[in-house]
Amino acid sequence: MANVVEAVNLTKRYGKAYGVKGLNFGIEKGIIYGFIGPNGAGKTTTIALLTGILEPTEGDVLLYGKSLRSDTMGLKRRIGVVPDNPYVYNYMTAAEYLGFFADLYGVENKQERIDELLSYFNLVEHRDKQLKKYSKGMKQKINIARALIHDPDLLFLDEPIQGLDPTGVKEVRDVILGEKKKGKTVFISSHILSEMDKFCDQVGIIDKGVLLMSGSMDKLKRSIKSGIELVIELDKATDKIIDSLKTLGYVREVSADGNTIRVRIDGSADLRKDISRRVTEAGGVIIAMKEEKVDLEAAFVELTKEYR
Amino acid sequence: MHRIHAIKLIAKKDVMRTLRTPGVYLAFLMACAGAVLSAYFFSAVKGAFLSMGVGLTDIYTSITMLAVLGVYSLYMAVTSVTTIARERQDKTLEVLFYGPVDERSFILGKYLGRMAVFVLLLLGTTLFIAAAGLAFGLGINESSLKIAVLAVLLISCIVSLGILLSTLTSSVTGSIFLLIVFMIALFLLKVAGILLGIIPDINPAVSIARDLTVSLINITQFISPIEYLSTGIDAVNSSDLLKYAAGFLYPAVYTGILLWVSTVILKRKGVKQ
Repeated sequence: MANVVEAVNLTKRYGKAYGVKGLNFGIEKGIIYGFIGPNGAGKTTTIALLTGILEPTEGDVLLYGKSLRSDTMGLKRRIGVVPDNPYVYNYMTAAEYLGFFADLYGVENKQERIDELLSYFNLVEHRDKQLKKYSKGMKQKINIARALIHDPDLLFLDEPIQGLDPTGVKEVRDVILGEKKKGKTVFISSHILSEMDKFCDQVGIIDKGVLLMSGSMDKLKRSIKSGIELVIELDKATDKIIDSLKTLGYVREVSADGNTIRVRIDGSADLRKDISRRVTEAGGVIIAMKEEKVDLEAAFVELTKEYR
Repeated sequence: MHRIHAIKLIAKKDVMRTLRTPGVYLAFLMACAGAVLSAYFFSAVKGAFLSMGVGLTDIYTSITMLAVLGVYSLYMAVTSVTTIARERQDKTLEVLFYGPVDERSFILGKYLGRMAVFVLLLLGTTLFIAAAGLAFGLGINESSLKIAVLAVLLISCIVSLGILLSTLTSSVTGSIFLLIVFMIALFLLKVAGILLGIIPDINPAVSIARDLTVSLINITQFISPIEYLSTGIDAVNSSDLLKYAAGFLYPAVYTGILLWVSTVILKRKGVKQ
């Protein structure tokens, strides 16, 4: 399937420093792509480059197979962007704000579309209220409504759930999943990994402007060498037990927290019997043992740790 | 086609915003108050003017319009110099550019928005000056129309200069500071020119300084919008058709160049902070 978004050696330099360096990735149609990285990793810069408001120093962005440089205006009409903060015209009412952008995009049935979005975001009763009187959560909703006003094929969201209450987070999540259902493509950046794990089909991990990995969520988790973590609860965790486990060839890391030991194992084989025997030999008594799969957060920490 | 649409929308948005701020009404009130005071003054000294055989209506209209223009020049300079800086500071510039807007349509939209506000102000004030003239028995004539045309040209220069300075800064405070620095620099240059003109050639340094200042003053004639007002006044008063045409052409070229430079700067600087 042809990629909707294609970053080709995308680089942004500020003097000698790199905002992002040599990004290469593609995003297929109809998926939710999570762009994950710590603060200052280059997520916002990447979105600015992909949406045409920042010129790359090197490389190119292809949207729907066309270079963003060659048809900036045409491609901008097909995308919606939600920036990292709800920047709005505070002197306008919600209806005026959406109306302005609807006019800008030449939306047909403008009023119907505005009513539909205001209703979707539960803002109908606030439609004639000036945006300066809106709370941050309400502004974020109107910001997303603005990005959706022209029913874009591709939606970019930069940290959309940052600072939102649980209800707001759920609403944003529903919007994203709703867009996916309609066959739209969503690019979402965040550092809140637990949320991304819930709905992203593919992810890209960025740190210090460099893309460390891009692919499916499974690929990311598989790419971590220690795919399994055993959590062992003991009657008493001793140094002897920990040292004994560390000598095992397949054990990558052992950490202790009180009487609970976490053992990271390379590969995916079931090694619980072997581990139990070694603990017992070292004088330990196992109260409970469970296997935990590596989640997105662990994968992210692992990847960025390797890079650093 | 899309660009014209975007220009119109940006201009309209700018006008709507201005009409929601107290500044525009304050400027209008000040201009109207000035007109009333002027009408009152000239009606009080009407007898003296008539005995001298001077055309009172012309003088009343010209002086009042120029005073009003002074108020509006300041207002338009401040609002133009902050117009882009404010959008950049509030980051609404970034949001706007996520849509189908490019630098040229944005700059032109901003310019037309500012000019539309001024034309509205000018229309209201010209009518008010005429009404005040009639109320105080000073009469009305066509000289206010001539000055109104000049005013549009002058303000066009001021607005385009304001927009240019606005593209250079990232905050409202910074833009106002830049405007003040620019005005002070022009003023100091003029003062220096006058002072050096009266100092005798006591040594070569004075002579060099005078030449340098004169050269700079000559350059500022192309930069300062006020210079175009005097060119315009000459044009209106002149019966020379060529001079009259030049009086219109210069501000138009000035505006065009400054808006083009603003577009280039905005493109180079980018919309994202």
